[in-house]
Amino acid sequence: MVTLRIDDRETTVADGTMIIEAARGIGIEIPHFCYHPKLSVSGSCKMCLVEVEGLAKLVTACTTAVSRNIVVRTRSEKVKEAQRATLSMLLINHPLDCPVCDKGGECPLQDYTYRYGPGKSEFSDEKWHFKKPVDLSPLIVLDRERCILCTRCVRFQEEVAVHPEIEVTERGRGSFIEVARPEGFTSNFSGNTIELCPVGALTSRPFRFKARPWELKRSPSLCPHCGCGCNIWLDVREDKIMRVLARENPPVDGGWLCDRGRFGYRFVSHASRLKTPLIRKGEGFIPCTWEEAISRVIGGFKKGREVYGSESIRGLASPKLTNEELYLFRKFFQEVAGTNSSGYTLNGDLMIESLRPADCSGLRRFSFQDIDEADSIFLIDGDPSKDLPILDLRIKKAVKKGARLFIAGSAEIELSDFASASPIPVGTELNSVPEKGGKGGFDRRFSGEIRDSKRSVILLGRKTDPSEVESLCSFLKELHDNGGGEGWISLGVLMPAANTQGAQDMLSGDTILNSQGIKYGVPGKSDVPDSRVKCLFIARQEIPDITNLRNHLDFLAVYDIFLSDTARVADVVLPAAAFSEIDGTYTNSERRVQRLFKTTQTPGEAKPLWEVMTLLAKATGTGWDFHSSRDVMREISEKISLYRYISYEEIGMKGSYADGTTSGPRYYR
Amino acid sequence: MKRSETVVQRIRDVFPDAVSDAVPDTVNDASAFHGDISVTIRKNRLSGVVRLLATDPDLGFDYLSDLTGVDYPGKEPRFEVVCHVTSTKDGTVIRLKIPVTSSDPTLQTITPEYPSANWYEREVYDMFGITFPGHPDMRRILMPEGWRGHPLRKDYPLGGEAVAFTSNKDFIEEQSLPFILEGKRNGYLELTPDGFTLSNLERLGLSGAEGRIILNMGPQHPSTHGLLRLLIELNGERISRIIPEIGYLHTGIEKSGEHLTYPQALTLTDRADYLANLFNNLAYCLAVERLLDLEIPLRAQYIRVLLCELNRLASHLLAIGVMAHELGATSVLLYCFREREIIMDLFEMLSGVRMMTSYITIGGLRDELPEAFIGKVGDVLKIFPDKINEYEKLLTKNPIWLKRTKGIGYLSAGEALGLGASGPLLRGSGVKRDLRKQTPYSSYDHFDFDVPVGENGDVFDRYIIRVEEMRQSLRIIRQVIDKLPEGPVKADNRKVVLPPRDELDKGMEALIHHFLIASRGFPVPKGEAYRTVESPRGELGYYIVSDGSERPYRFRIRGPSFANLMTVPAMARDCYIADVVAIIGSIDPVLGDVDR
Repeated sequence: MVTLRIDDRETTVADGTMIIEAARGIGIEIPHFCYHPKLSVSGSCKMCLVEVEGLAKLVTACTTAVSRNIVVRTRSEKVKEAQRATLSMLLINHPLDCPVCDKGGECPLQDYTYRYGPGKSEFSDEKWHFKKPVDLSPLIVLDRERCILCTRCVRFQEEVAVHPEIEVTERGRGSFIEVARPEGFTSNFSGNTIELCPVGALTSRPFRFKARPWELKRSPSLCPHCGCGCNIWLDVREDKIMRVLARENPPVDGGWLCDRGRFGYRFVSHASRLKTPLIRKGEGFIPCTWEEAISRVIGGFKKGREVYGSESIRGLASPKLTNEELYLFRKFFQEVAGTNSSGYTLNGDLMIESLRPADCSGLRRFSFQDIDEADSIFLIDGDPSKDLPILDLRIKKAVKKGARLFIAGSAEIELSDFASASPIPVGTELNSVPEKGGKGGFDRRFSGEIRDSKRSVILLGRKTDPSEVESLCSFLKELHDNGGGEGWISLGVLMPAANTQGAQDMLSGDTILNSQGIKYGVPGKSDVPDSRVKCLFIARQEIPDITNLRNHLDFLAVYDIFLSDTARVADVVLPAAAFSEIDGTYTNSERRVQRLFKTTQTPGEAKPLWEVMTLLAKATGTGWDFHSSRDVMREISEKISLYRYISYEEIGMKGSYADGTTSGPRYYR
Repeated sequence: MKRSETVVQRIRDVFPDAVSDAVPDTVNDASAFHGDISVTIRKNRLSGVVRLLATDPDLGFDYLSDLTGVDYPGKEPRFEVVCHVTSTKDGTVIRLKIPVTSSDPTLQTITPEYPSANWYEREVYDMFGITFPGHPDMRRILMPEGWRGHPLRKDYPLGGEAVAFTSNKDFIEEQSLPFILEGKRNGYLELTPDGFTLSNLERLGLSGAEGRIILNMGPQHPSTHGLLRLLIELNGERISRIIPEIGYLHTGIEKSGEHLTYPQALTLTDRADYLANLFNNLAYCLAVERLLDLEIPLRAQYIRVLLCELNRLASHLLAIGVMAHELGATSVLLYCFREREIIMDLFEMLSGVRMMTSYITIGGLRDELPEAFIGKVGDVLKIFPDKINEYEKLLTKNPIWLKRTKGIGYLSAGEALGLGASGPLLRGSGVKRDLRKQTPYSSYDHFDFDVPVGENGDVFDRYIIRVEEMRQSLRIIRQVIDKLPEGPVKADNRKVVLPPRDELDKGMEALIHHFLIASRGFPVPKGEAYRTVESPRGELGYYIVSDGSERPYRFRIRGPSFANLMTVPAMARDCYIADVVAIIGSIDPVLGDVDR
């Protein structure tokens, strides 16, 4: 530890800490452009110059490590003069773009100029010109005149995303940012560079010229696109989502977002959103009131039950729905419709249900942070880069720190480049090289590697053969029980959809339906189409071969946000609420329950599913008393023992594990 | 020892435990503003301290300028009641701050020492929910009876309706309903219908018994100068009691101002006393400039004086014209409006608008004067002296006019001071107090002018003072034009003053500063300042508290009309009902200034 003085305040920090970090620790702001706590040090912008007593020259606070008893001044006249000079130099070639620049109003260059810079320009010559703007990708626009060459974007792509697709080319005054690869700037984390850019050089194509920052109302939310549950800010103007920014929740997302999460918001305010319930009339639909639509659905169910019995009624829900919605969905079919056959869709990822906690008791339940601590990571038939992109960054970071990565899978994936050993050959299914009892290739190849590790993370992807899971679990349990310490192996499943885990928790015990037609059965054992199904309620799900299925059905109701192909063949279509329009919770892949907040209004008369289910129940004369999703969560915590500690207060802004404390490890039991 | 220090020493001597904290206010240092000083007084010692200040002949703080509150939620004591007391002899202002806890939001009334605290305390009760035991009439004053909540508390939401533009028209129609519903749910919009029923009138001491009549005059009445309501108890044609009721034009300017940036809040000041908008601009700017420690170029100071005096002319023309009209001399109104139009045209030439010019800005003026402006002001100087004589010809010796104004609405000097009167109303009662002379601001001490004072304290004196003040204004204007120095009209501080337009397409620094000042405003250092100017109606003060952010933490307007209206019951006692019109006219209240 080193003790030093900064602006007459004493602080003690670890050896090797940079002055800028030591100052930040005691709340002293040192202006900076190129420095970023999560990126390597560059020291190129010269904005963070400070005075160290005894040194003749000013030093950059981001590259100078603290040493014993030094005295640092951040606001001396000498420093102020240097800050003024640095800003003047940066502004010499900066274009007069503030009035048309997206960054205006939240721009560090503006803010520092106002706080530390001169009020008048002494430069009167022609500014440096570049062709602008340049499309780096369909999503990102580069303005080279505005760029101050801090290289944050280059360093992010190189160090964090490990997609070194942009670089600084040319030299000196004429250098600029350029795409380095012929295939272009295709990284699926490219959007982070926009947020990192301290000026308006990198801007978002979808957000460009859409709004000024002070017009935006910022609300917390969750990304609805995968099982990571990254925390986001929704910037809303006039009830329309204008952009999505990262809301740092370190254990979940580390403050980054993938491009799907960052740019996938415009569907919410799309003009073709369903606004009223529709009922079939001949070949087409006519709009109707909720009362009519509800009585149609109830009528359809009643008729089905009279003719074919209650087993003919089914509900099929998407894991995009919130816990509250899914809970009432199941409650309706169980208690009101009298069928035990509501379910959720897995798009064929049947293995998720086949992981039984009892098979692997003692193993640590996977949480994202386990990756940071692991010294070996095993990926089985999964592709985090596609399914849970933010885990991809975590894995890359762990590999960089020295963890070994092993991949078993049927397809070449992006992370293959980071694997420590050649993957199990491409095209080889896990179980295609059966050996003693069908444990497959995995244990044959990797059991030694697992045994050699102190902390190991095993991740099962969506392509894992469900029939293999049981044997794999017992294999891992055997390894674990013979190894060192409780929970040194952590086992997790890469849940593809935002609330797959939640759907499993809310609907567990029910028959699983998958989306390939309406087949059902014990997972992995039966693929027989269920011909008994006659009345179907599908919530937020597209069914691939719906016309074929429709032929077997007497009645089909679809709840969705768009008139999808599935909705098109329905008898009744109900307008749905999107993720930003509901209060509720999602449970992510590590079973962290996090909040969604109602931020925008539903279009027209669209309603969240929990409200629709309540209406349906009321229409059948069942007295449900739910007025908000909070009410539903209260019942969930009473009825589902796993969620007994969950309440909106408990979840807060950072989320809370359903099955344990937020900090400590959790185990399969 | 400076006067302010003597005062604090004296308080300490008499009440050793009263002063919990006397900070020689660095913001209000003695050289800049006649040594006003902040003293924090313990709650239970307030009455004693105030009595000492008001009655001790050595101290002589005979005038309560302002009494208001500040809310600091999350802090305890949560509230601060702030009084500005003034010595009219030398203009010294002392700021008393009394912390009040949220668990016991009460404070002993100071109405026995300063009768004018009556309405101020009611306003603090209305806006902050602090009650004043011992107050003769503790009820709401600006908000309607039965209103829930206290609007100037920081946890009370800013209300208002979104303005519809073509871009958000549909959205607003959808949105307005939830807002109203929310307001209702929280009780902010829920009003209990509790007008002045007979029992209420009795509570106010008005009685319709024994041949007395209760007459309701206003708020919609042509001779109440706006939305002023007077509850009058008549005994025959004589007034036995009169109670002014205000608040009908309350628009929450102070609340709104606390949500705007400093440059934006400037535009609200025009709308308080809309007949003296430039005075409002000036007082506000003086307070903010003090906090910012801005030096204003001499040229800008002179032009500020010039504009204010033109504004005074326009305001007095309206005051005289309307008063004459209300007493039956319609032609005077027409003549006055004719001349006022010349000044309105000048303001339009300056800023594009006739009334809400916002031309005096923080740091100087919005812009340099148009080239032809000074020439046009020369025309005013040529035309006006004759015109003023013309009005006098019509009125000053007119027997009907004399009959209606001489000896009517008598107000003694003592009563005037005690009730917080200022401006022509106070000077009409013989108190020679003009802030331009007493505490000169904006270089008023560079100009020669006289302060006319009345002898009889009646309506006529107030009228004749206004006439004479117009002549003095012309005198000042002439001197400004003669002495007007060259130079900039904006302070040399790029962090506050917008850079010149032509730099914006050349220099990045100028562009950034312009962008941020216009969009975000500028931070103003922590502190507080109370600055006053002599508006056509009297002491117009702005009390600004800054928490270091870009928006005023407290945006307080001490409007002269508010206090001046408190003198109505004293002046109208035993008058004829017809004289009420003359009395109101002689006060020249602007209800925007009263209700804000």
